[in-house]
Amino acid sequence: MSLGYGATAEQQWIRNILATPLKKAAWRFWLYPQPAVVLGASQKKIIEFNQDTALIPLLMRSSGGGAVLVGPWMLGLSIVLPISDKSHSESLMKTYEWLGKLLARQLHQLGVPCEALCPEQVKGSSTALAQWACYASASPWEIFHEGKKLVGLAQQRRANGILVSAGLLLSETPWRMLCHTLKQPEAEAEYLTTKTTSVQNILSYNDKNWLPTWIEAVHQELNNTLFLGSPGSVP
Amino acid sequence: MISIILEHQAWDGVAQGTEALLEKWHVEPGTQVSSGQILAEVVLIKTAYDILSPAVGTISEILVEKDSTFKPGQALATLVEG
Repeated sequence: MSLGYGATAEQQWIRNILATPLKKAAWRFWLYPQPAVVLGASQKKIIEFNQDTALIPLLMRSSGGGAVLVGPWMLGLSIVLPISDKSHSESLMKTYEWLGKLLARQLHQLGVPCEALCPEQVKGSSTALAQWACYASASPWEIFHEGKKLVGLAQQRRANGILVSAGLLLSETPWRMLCHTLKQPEAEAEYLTTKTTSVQNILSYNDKNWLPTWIEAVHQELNNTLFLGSPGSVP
Repeated sequence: MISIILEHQAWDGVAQGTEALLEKWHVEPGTQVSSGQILAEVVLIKTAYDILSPAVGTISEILVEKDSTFKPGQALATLVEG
């Protein structure tokens, strides 16, 4: 099992692995001991506006989507797929569907009732507030529990390979920290609190002792699916 | 003359009416390009996409400006082969 630490290391790993043509799939789970804001590819202006005053690091990622506040409350997962892997990367929607369903299945195994939402379910669900934040909105195959977002997804489809990333909310996220860092209204933090949930909140857990076992289970399913051809691919 | 587009497959399963954003151009009119060279970066459904040149040639016209959105099948630029 491959585990990395920190948003800077994560972005560097992605840049390095996509710098040359990818021959086989690879993945890494990420924990974030320190908070940081990771902004989407279209949010350069936000970083320019806040870089000098931010009290926590602001980083850019090359995938799309809104701002993500990483920290001890989140588990990241980065999977890279070769262009030739048509069973999981034929189209951007099939890649999202494959990973969304895989993670929802593993969360069910843990006892978390949740669903990866199909495109019809998220149609017309644009957010009124905090449009700049990843977790305020719903995109196809992201994972929800009782209408609240639990897992966000993003993707890069580059000349050398495909990256699909997921962020699972493990525990309560300090949305005020995100809004304060990006100089956004306090009301948007309250809105994000109402629109999101976490594994600890759903299962009433007080710790993350379950996490290593769960990561190992996801790792095994990825290994079986991507290297051994077991079920899990999108038909 | 070849029209540069975001490949049709990219739009598979994407809800009707959805548009993509042209994030960055790597070339300009007059740039000579090789086959497979990255011409532009676009974003569709939280996915950053490289637009690659389908052939050797010269970019003749940019049709969708940076920070503009575009529809399925819409030409982003034109390429003169050779």
